[in-house]
Amino acid sequence: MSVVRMQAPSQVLKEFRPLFRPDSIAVIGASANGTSAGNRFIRVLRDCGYRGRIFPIHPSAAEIEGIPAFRSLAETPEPTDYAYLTVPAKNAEAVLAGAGGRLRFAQVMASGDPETHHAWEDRLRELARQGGFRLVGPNCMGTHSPHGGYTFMEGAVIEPGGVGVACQSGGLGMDILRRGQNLGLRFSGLVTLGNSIDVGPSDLLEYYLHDPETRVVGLYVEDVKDGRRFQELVRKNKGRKPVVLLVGGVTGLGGKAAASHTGAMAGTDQAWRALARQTGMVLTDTLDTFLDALQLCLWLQPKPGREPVVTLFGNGGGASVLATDALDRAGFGLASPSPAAREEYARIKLPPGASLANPIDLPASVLKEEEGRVAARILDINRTLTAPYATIIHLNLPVILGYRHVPGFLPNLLNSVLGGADGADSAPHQILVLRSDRSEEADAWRREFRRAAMERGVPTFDEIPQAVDALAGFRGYEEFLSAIGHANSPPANRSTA
Amino acid sequence: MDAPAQISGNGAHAPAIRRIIDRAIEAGQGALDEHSGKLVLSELGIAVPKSVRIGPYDGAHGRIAALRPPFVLKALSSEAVHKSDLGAVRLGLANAAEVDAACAEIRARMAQAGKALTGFLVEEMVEPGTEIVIGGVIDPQLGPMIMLGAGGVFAEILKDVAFRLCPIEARDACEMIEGLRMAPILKGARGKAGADLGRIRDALLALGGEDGFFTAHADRVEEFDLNPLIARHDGLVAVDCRVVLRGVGK
Repeated sequence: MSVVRMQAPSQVLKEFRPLFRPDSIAVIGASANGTSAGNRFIRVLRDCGYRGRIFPIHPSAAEIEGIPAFRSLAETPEPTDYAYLTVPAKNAEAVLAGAGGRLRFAQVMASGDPETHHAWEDRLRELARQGGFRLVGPNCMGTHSPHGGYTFMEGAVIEPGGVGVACQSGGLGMDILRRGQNLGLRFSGLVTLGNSIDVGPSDLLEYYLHDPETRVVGLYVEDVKDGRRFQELVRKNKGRKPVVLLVGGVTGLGGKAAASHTGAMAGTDQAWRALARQTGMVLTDTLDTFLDALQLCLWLQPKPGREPVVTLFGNGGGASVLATDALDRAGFGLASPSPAAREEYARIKLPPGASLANPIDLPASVLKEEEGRVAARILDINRTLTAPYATIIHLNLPVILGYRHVPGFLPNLLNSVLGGADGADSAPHQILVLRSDRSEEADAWRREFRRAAMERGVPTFDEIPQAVDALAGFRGYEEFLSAIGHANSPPANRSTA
Repeated sequence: MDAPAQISGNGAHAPAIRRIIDRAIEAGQGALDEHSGKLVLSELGIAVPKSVRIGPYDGAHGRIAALRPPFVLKALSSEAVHKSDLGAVRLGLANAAEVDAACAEIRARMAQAGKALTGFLVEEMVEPGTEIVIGGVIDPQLGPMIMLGAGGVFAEILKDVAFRLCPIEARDACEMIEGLRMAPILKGARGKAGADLGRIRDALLALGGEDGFFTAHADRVEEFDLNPLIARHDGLVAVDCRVVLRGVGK
């Protein structure tokens, strides 16, 4: 499999620098009257505080959005690092043909006419080759690069983070950005790749794997283009940097006539599942599970080889019972409190209704004890003396809000449940489930709790089963790490041993 | 069954296997016939039943003296056919006369189905064991992929399968075995003798490992099935094999 050319990491980082940290951005498709997508992009660049030079390109306008315009990419005072093209497909070629070797990256938003787009894309690819620039797209939405101080999306948080995303769909890229940032994810980059006629998912995967700012890679792919190279990259990574994958179009091959049993049972879905198993990638199948997996991979320290036993902590007896079932189905067990933990729990005087076995079930009326600080004591004992693989803390906020009149209760409770996220190797994975009834008040408190959790690097979920599923996916990654740490010995065999 | 050879994915067999495949492609065949397929398996060290090949109109008398009854008779075709669906397989034949009678029947059936008949394979019957399938298919995006599963004619109904992309490592092969619902049966459930798991692992590696058959020849092989492989505590025998070739008539 060593047929694929690999570049040195420094070379990869250097090649993509103009895309992720452009010194200059040309905007093609803004107009003097100020209503087009190009104008919107210039205003977004301004709002997010982009510090490089902006070159509006226009055949006749002298000034666009108050910035001097140029007639072509050949006439800008310095070469352009990144050109953002919102012009219609038929105009893109002339613009790029005029770059005259003075362009590093072009991103083309337009999509070609369905009848002729293959020929159009071939011509664009050829222009990129001749002009010595890389082409992102076509049929995409833009690039979000907080490290480069720019974004394509109005309202995007420009604060840099550790999640690097490549997305073969523009709209889904925006969903990832919007929903992700509300979950507390911050990005090292998010590139919408569209039809990927030049820059493809493998290029971005390679970049993010080498980029020191990126701690977890997230990819949405429909057609990976160069499967060999993609595969070689993730095989070489060996799980060192977590990779979360959302693959679209995996169920579409059902009609293929196969000449063998194997062919009849194989499909794209099996191929991606296989690759995930072989490389430790976390494979997801919805936007939400993709974002959930990114949260865990970003914030949890892998604990390979740990027995998967969990402490459940929270208010809601029925919810705990259902959670126990969800854990069981996902292959987790409940952690038995250690004798030392039981001894410590016995010293805590609690009103009736509380149970300190596992699940630890504390009604809101008990959680309010010690102005909400009792949770911290219990969780501390669980963390240090029982030391499970993970602790899932679930708070049913509407019920808890019934005690909002107790001074300091809610802030103290929040501090209590976030106290264990110190990242120590021995500490359990800490996960917070914030259950709401969708009332305005409960949702507002959920946002506040979530904001505090993200600052501490604690993953948050709306419901317990969702947290359990995400943890099971992360567990697959940990099991891969644990498996590659062991020798390739044959499986135990009772009959011939 | 013969003394088991060393199952090997070391690549030394590659030229011999390539010659078998190239010959079939040059002859315009869309698939290896079962005889050629089993030659490939023998090169890989995967055991096949002791057999004799006879022409489409040959009599069995004198030709199958070296085989021990009961016999299995199979039609050979250069096309990928589901032999059991066509009734082109007969089991438990006691002597040459029964083989000849079965040959005549199968000739008629193949002619009726419009399938090219290139001869017959007469094989010794293999002692019963657990039926598994190992197969390969090319994923359009990710390339050659190998499968292990519960085998036999109900393989597609049971769908107890594990897939991995080629090349696989020993760890992958072991996880494939462990990942099957039938793994406890292979290990020896309820007092029954299990299978030789090391041999299954080695077969997976010889077929899908770094220098394995499918990894090395995916440019010419489109799909393959070894179904069933009879897995026993004392061996692993490929009773049937189908190798679909690429680029012929497509």
